[in-house]
Amino acid sequence: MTSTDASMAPAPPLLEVDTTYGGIYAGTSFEFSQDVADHFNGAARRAGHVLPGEYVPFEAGEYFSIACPMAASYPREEFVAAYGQLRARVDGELEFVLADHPRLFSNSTEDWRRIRAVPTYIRKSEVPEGFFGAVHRVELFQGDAPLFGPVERFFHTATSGCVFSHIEDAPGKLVVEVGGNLDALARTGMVVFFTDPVFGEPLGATQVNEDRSIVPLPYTLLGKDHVGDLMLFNEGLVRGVSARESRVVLELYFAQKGTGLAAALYSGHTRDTAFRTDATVL
Amino acid sequence: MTDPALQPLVAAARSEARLVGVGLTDARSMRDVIWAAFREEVAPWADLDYGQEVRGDAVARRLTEPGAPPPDVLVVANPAHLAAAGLLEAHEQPYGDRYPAGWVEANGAWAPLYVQPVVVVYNGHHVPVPPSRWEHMGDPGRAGKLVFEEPWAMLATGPALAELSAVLGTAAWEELLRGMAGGDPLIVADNERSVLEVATGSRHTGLSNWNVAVRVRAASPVRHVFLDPTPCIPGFAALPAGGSSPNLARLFLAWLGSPGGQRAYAATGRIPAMPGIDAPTEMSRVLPSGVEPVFGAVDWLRDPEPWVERYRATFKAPRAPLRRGKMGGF
Repeated sequence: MTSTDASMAPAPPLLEVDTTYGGIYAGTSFEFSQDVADHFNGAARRAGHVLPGEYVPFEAGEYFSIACPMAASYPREEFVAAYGQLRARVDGELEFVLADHPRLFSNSTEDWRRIRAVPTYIRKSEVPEGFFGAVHRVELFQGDAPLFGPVERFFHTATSGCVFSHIEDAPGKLVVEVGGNLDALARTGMVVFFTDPVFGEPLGATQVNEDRSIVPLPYTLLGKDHVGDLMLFNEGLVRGVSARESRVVLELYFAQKGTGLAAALYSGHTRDTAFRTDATVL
Repeated sequence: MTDPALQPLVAAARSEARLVGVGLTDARSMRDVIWAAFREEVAPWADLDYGQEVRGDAVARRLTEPGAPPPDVLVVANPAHLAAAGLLEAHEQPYGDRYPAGWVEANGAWAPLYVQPVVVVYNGHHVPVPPSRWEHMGDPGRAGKLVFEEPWAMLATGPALAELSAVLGTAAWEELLRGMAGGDPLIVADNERSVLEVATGSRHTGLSNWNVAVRVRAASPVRHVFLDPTPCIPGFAALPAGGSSPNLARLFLAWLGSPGGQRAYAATGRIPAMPGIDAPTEMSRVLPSGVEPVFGAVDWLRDPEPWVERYRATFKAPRAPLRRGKMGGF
């Protein structure tokens, strides 16, 4: 874009945060493998219509997220421009320009050209020692305009919350095992899934209890996450998860066999074995 | 009533109230089961500060850190390096004669605590017929789908392969190593990760100690099979030189080697190293009929270095840090 183009470009819209599920999520912990970094980076290279400022490459490592769900979807061009103005301030002193960090834009289920949310992934090494395992005050700004907060959010260590241990290959489904401290899962009953389009959209979910009883759970498709015009995964929410036992086992059903990306996450830590690029529906 | 064999150690230990331990055994088993039994049977005055550490080099660092006293007791896979470096002290082993001779150190520098049979783990969705002979682990069909813990760390895989060298014969053993190495195996930091990789399906077959393989949930796709013979690898207790509570440590180690301590180890689900302990996990009750244990067939314990060198030369060490199964905070 030339300087003349830039001066003629309309100002990005002021974004509005969706508060349906409490607004900004922050502090979920992730272990990204080299395979995951290669998977997303490779997709970004192959994708068409990747906008300037849309993609920052991933590296393998430990990350935490700051996720911004929006009250409405925005055209990609407008949203990416507005995203470039977002700053997260933590405890009034740590400041993150979100566009400096890897992120995955979550596009509308009806129209991939509109964006409805964005989690930003920030390396854990960018905060002081002792930061994790504690509550912090989070505010979000677009330029100088406050968008959300201050709110208190817990920033997880690898062991302070739910531990999304691993996702298992299985016939017609994927199986996730969750352990660790399940208090937050007991309160919210929610788990987010990223699943590759190669499997098709999930058909439904169940929870399998230790006594082998099976409870159907509602699955809601939230978004179809893209880089450029290339779809990365279906993003969906399973609600009604019960966390009364020492571990939770959830099954997500699919119509199509295949191998691709699958991840499970929420308040806690997602191990690299629960954020896989080779998950296989048999 | 305290075991009479331990009585000579009790008086000196009474003035020491806190024991610091580090080692292979998970903290929950050590604190809630083993230490709880020790307090009840022997030392109700004593408290434990214990942390799990699998890596031998990390344990060695704990023993040599300037300005910090070493822990009082260790549970390690291979104590020979530590003993050779003068980091261990001999300790009393009143029941030492009840253990297999190859596991007991003549000067009392270490003592066997529990036994880990090394088994083959496999994913039931991906492997309809598991290996039935050790030689099958090197089959070309497993290429890219095999996982095991780093052999050169001499935790479980390394000693297990060493034991097998004595029973398979040189040619078959060399062929097994070549096959395993040639199949681009995923080499990981611990047995927990080996089982985790098999659970996902990213790897189809692996090696693990039995203690870890049985921890999966009932409906897990991870299964395990004992091959004949099954290498049985002990974990050892040792007394670091210069600890803050040496007398309490001596009493604890002597008790761990007694029938009472061995029953406590068995109560954690592990196989006690002392033969004949009446527990569901006594070795003869764990190994299936027709599967013989093999241990002490070669001396990997006192002189691990030739094995370490052999494994380093045979298997390609990943450049990236090895993936771990055990969780740690960061």
